[in-house]
Amino acid sequence: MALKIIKPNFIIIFISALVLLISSNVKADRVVISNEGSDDITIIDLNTYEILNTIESGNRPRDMHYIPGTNSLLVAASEDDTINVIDMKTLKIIGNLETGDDPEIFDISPDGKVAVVSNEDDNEATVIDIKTGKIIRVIEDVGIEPEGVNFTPDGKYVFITSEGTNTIIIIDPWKGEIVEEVLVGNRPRRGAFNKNGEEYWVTNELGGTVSVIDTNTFLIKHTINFEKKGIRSSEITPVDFAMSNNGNLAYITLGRSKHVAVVNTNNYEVIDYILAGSRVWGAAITADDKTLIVTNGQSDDISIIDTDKRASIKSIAVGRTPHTVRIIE
Amino acid sequence: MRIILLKLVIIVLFLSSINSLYADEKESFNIGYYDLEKDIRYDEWGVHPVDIRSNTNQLYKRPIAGARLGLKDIKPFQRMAKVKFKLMSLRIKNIDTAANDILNHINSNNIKIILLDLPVTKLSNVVNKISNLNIAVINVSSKNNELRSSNCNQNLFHTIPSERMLSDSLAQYLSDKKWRKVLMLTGPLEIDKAKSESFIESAKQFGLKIIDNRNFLLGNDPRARDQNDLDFLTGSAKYDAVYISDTHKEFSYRVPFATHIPSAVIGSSGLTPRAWHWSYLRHGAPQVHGRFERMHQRRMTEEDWAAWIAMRAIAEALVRFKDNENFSFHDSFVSENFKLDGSKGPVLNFRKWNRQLRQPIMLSTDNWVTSIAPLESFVHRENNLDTIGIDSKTSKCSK
Repeated sequence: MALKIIKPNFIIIFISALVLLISSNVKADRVVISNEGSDDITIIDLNTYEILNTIESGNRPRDMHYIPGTNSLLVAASEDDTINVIDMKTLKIIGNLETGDDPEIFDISPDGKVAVVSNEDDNEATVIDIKTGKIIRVIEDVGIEPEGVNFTPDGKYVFITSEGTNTIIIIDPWKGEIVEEVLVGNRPRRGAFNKNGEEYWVTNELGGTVSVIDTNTFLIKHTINFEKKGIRSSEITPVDFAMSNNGNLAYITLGRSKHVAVVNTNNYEVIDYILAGSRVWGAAITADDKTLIVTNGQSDDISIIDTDKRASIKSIAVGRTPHTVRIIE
Repeated sequence: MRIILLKLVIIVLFLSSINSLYADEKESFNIGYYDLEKDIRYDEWGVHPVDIRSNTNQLYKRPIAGARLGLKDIKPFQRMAKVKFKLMSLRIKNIDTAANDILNHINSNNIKIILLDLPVTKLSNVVNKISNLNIAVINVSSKNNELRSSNCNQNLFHTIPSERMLSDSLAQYLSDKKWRKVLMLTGPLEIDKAKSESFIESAKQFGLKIIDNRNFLLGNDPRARDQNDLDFLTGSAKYDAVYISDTHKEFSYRVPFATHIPSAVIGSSGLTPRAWHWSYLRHGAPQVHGRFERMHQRRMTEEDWAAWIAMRAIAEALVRFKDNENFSFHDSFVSENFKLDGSKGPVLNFRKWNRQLRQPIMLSTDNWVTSIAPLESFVHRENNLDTIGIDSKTSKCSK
């Protein structure tokens, strides 16, 4: 069980342990990758790294989230203006959620009942009831080109990154209100909560930095810079996160620089840079923190990274333009 | 009593902070936009009668459309910049009074910064006339090289690339492909000659060989066949590519696939260097195209992009630097920390020496971006974007 959006809390760990117990005998642990160029999803065995299946999804599949309780994988099919619900037993699309136009990134409330999706073209965020598949409400004016979406660990608020406005917009999805707005670096792409929601980390793709926001004061408490000999600063384009489950490390994909940065979350120092593929962006980490998997958008493959060695140990060719990776354990 | 007062103050402060987030009662920030009623660059024309009558050939190509999208796109910045953006435009009827008309419009409307869509001759005139106001001027359409090298003004910024940036981009591409022998065809206008001169400079820099530079004329006169017939114009020579400079485009459209020997065609038709092309699919460009087309029902041109990014530059400078002591657009635009997102990939900012916006150039056919300059094999000690355009050594602007 490794839904990277949910920070470990005891109930979830308990549930995951249960799910793990039940499922581990039945199905091997799997890695799923959405290929936005070839409109399909690659399923890989986490232990053998063999491709088990390639299944068709809606058009331009991007962000994905797995809901353990229902054994279903939600996939944003951007060009179809929907989220596909894929049953991970039969590998068939069993339903669709209404999303509004061009859903790219979404997140699921900690109770698994509601999804919030960013609608890049309409500057909106849409709140969806997962059970009925219907839109509950639409929140307008969440900045130009909203992208990253994260529920706070307590499920009260949603943080949205606005690529065009260079801000984080904090919304109350239950009331449908904008609560606060925080200026960060240029082209904020994705966010991740850390330290039980005390901090919100944001990648600034064009700024080449990561902003760490104190979620109590809404002030930027730290800005992480990346420097590596031989890499030009213009090539450092941070996109996605994988936060280690023990809370000590953040793995940040650096896009065009082909590297993944390893950051100590306690002192914000960059410990290391790991070489991955061309335009590395999506990231996920296993529950035991031993394996990091990243998608390489421009080389149509994924890199498997051993986090102890801090090195890529294998690359696997997948579909065209792999976008998001999730690990189902 | 004091405590009550204190509470009142706190409540007022609290309310005002809410106001700054949501209310519309902000200080108005007026942006001026000026263009000419009669501008040869936006003449209505069509090569083909169907083209003229067709709805898909939108004749209204003025870049103010880009500024209007820009205004809409920077409205969300108002919450952070704590101002209300307003675009105030004036279309000048009489060219002779242009400079005065603009000066009066600026003064009577409390305009803080202006965008100009004027041909080079008028532009210099206007910029000099309003120089005393010390207000930043953004040129969104003139690609003239002299404005970036010898005929400069400290208030003048450029978001549209120079001819030199465009010709350097083509030269890089040819050099990368090893298509080094180039036949040039130059049109009759001054602006055509200027384009060709720019290409000759670029060819020198990137090691291309110009085997000949021939003048063409649009027409059917059999006595001028050497200038209007493509077999003559492109015959008796060996080359890898034909470069053509033709502002009107009516002649150049017929050149691809019609050269005497098989050859790539570049310049005003074939592979054309542009600041922006609607077919570009990466770096968030489709979102910008989509918003533009929904607003204006036509494709977004490079001048539209230049006007759009000018508006974004204004908002970006205000949001990031407004609270600095002695804030000015002049300093903000060239600051190391000024980072602009043009949906073309890298961070964009202005060159200190000639206030030209650094940017990648799209080498595109009519419906596809074939390549982006700078090409990967061309590197610069500081910023690869500076491998195209007039560099700090050549430009006399800051001297």
